[in-house]
Amino acid sequence: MFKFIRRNRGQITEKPSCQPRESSPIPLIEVVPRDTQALIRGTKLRFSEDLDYNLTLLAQRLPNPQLVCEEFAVGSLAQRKVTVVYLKNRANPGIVQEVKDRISKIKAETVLDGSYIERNIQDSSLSPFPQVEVTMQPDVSESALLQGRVVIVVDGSPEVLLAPTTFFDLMDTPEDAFMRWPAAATFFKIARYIMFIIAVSLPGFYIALTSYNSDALPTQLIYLILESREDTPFPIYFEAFLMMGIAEAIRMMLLRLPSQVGSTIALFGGITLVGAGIYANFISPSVVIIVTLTVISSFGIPNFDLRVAVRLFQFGTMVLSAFLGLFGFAMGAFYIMIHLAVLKSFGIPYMTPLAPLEASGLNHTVFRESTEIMAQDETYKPLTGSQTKNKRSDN
Amino acid sequence: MSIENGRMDKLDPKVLIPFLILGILEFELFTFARSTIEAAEQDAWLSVLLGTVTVSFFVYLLIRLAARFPKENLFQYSGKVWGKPLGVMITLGYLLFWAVYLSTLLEDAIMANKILFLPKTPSIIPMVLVAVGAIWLVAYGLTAVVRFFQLNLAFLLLPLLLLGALSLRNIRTENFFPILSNGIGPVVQGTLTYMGAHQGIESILFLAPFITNIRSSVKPALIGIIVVSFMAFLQVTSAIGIMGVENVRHSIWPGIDTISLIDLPGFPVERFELLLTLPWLIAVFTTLCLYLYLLSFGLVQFFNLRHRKAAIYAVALTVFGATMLFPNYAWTIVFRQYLSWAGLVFIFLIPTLTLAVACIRGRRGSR
Repeated sequence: MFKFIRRNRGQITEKPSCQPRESSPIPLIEVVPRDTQALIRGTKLRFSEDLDYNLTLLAQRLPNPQLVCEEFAVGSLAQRKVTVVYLKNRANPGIVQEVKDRISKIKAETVLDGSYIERNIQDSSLSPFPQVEVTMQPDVSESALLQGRVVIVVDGSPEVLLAPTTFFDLMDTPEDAFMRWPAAATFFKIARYIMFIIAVSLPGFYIALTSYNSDALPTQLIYLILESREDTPFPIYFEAFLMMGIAEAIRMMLLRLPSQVGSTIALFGGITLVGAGIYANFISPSVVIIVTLTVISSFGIPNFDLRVAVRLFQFGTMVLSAFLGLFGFAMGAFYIMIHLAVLKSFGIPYMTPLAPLEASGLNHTVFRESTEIMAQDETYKPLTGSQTKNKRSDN
Repeated sequence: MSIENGRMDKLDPKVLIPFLILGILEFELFTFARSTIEAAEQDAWLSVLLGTVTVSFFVYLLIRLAARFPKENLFQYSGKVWGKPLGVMITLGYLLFWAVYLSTLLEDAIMANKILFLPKTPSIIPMVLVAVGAIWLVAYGLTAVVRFFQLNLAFLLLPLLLLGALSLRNIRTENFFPILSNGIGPVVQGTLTYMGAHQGIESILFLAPFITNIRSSVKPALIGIIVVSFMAFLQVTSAIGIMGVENVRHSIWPGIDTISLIDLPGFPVERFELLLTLPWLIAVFTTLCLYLYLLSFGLVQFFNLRHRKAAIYAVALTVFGATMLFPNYAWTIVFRQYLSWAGLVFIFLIPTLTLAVACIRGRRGSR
C-alpha cells in the first residue's frame, strides 16, 4: 500500500510498505488536547511525536499504492529520522527532488524539532513570510498530498511540514473545505483577507491620515479625534506605538501563562491599563479603537508564523507613516508587495494563483467553489514536456 | 542578463491586461483631461472614444509585428528590418525617449508628492525611497515586474471605479452641449492628444519574447486598452461634467480638482482626493519600474553589458539626477506636452512602419 524508501548517507533502501507496521502506542501526553486552534468540523485526530504513528495515520487516511515515503537520517552527532511523504502520481517530480536535495544538504548536529528542518530548507531565511506550512492536522496533510505537495515528518515533532507553500495556503482553514454552503465559506474567506489587510495597514494608515493628511477625513470625524486627544500630551504615532506595544506584551504574557489564569490576568491587565491610560489622558480612545481593531483582525489570520510576519509589518508601516505620512505608508505597502512578488517556495511563486494569475486556482483559494469533490488547482500539478521547461524557467 | 537572455521567463498572454493598464496609467491620471479638453472642448469624450478605436487598431498591429518575431524584441529585429544603421538609430531613439520620459515622470511625481503629501520634506528622501523600491524590483527581471503589476491591479482599479461612480451624481449634462459645435477638426486633434498619452503600449514589443503564445495576445491586450480607455472616459466626462470646459483649461491638475468638487453628504469620507492619490502613487510607481526595466535592460542589450545590476543602479542614478535639470515645474508641464507628440512617433509610427517594411521585405523571425 505504502512504498517506503530508506535513505541513509546517499544509500536508498526500498522497503515494501510501512502500512502493515503495528500501530505504535500513543503516549499519554498525546491524549491531552492541544488547544492551538478551535475546530468546528473535521477530524479531531492530531499527529503525535512518534514518527511511526504519524506515518501510519497518513497511510490509513490515504491507502494508495502511489503513496511514497522516503526516510532520511539527519544530524552528525545524534541522528534523527526525517521522512518525506508524497503521492507519486500527483507530486511534481522537480519539487520532490528539490525537497529531498535540500534535506540531504542539511549539516546539523541534531534536529531538536521540525522547525530545524524548516529553517534549513526554506528558500529565504531573511523573509518574514513562512515558506513551509506547519500543521498538526492529518486531514490538512492529506489534502496537501492530494494537491501534489510534499509532507515532511520529523521524528519527535508533533507537527509536520508541508512544502511548497503559497500565501493562500497559509490563509486557508479546514472549515473552508468542510463548510456545507460554498457561499458562506467564500464570505468567510474574503473576510479573512480583508482582516489581513486591516491587520497590516490600519495603524500605519491611521497615523498617516491623522498626522499628515487629516484633510482627507470628514470634518466631524477629525473634530471628534481632536477632541478626544485634547488633553493627551503625546503625538498620535507615539500613542499608537505605546498601545501596540502593550497589546504585544499582553499577547506574549498570554503565551507563557497557564490558560486558566492567563486569560483572567490578560483581561484584568488590559482593562486596567487602557482604562487608567484614558483616564489619565496618556492615550486617546481613538487610538484604543484602532489598536483593538488591529489586534482582533490579526487573529483572523489562521497561520501563526504569518501572524508574526504581520505584526512586524504593522510596526514597519507605522514607522514609515510616522516619518512620511501617506507617501511612507504607500512605500511600505510597495516594499511588502515587491517582496511578495519575488518570493518563491520551492520554485512556486509565493502569490500563486494571484501572481502569476491562475484563474482555476482562485476558486479554492480566494473563493470556495461549489463542487462535490475536493477542489484542485494547477499550482503544484506536475507538468509535462515543454510545459515543464516553461513553467520551471518562469519560476 | 539582457532582455534577450531574460526571455526564458515565459508568461501567460493574459498578463498583458495588468501590464498595459499599469504601464499606461501614470501621472496623466491628474493631467491628461486638460490637454484633451483644450483641443476638443466639450467633445473631448468623443476624442476618447475615437482614440480608443484607433489605439486598439494600433495595438493589433503591434501584436502582429511582435508575432512576426516571437523570440525577439524590437531592438533585435529593427536591424533586420530596416538595416543596421537605421536599426541602431531606432534603438538609440527609443532609449533616449525612455530616459527623457522617465525623468519627466519622476519630476512630475516629485512635484505632486511635494504638494499632496510631503510639503516640508526634502525631495531627495522620497526619491531615494522610490529608487530603492524600483531598483529592487527591476533587478529581479520582467517576470517580477509583471507579478508586481498583478498584485497591484485591484488596488489601482477599485478606487478609480468607486470614484467614477461617486462623480456621476455631480455631473451636469448641459456642460456637454452643443455637440460638435466646432466641427470634427478639434475632435481629431483631441484624439491625437489622447493617443499621445499612451506611453507604455510600445512595451508590448519588448514583453512579446516572454509570452508563451504572442498570437493569442490580441484579446488580453485589447481588454487592457479598453479598461484604460474606460478610466480615461470617466476622467474626461467627470472633468467636463463637474468643472466645465473653461475651468479645466485653467486647472493644472484637473484630475484632482474634479475630485475635490465631488460632494456626497453622509458618505464616510468627505474628501475624495485620497481615492485618486493612492491609485496615482501605484500608477506612477509601476510605470517608473517598467521604464527603468526597459531602459536599463535595453542598455544592457545594446551595449552588451555584463553587469546587469550595475547598469540598473547607473540608469536609476542618471535618471534621478536628470530631474535636477528641469528649471521649473511650468517648463516641465510644457515639455511633457511636447513629449506626448514625440510619443506618437515611438508608440505608433515606428512600430507600424516596421511592420509594413517587414511585410514588404518578407522579414520574419524564427519560431
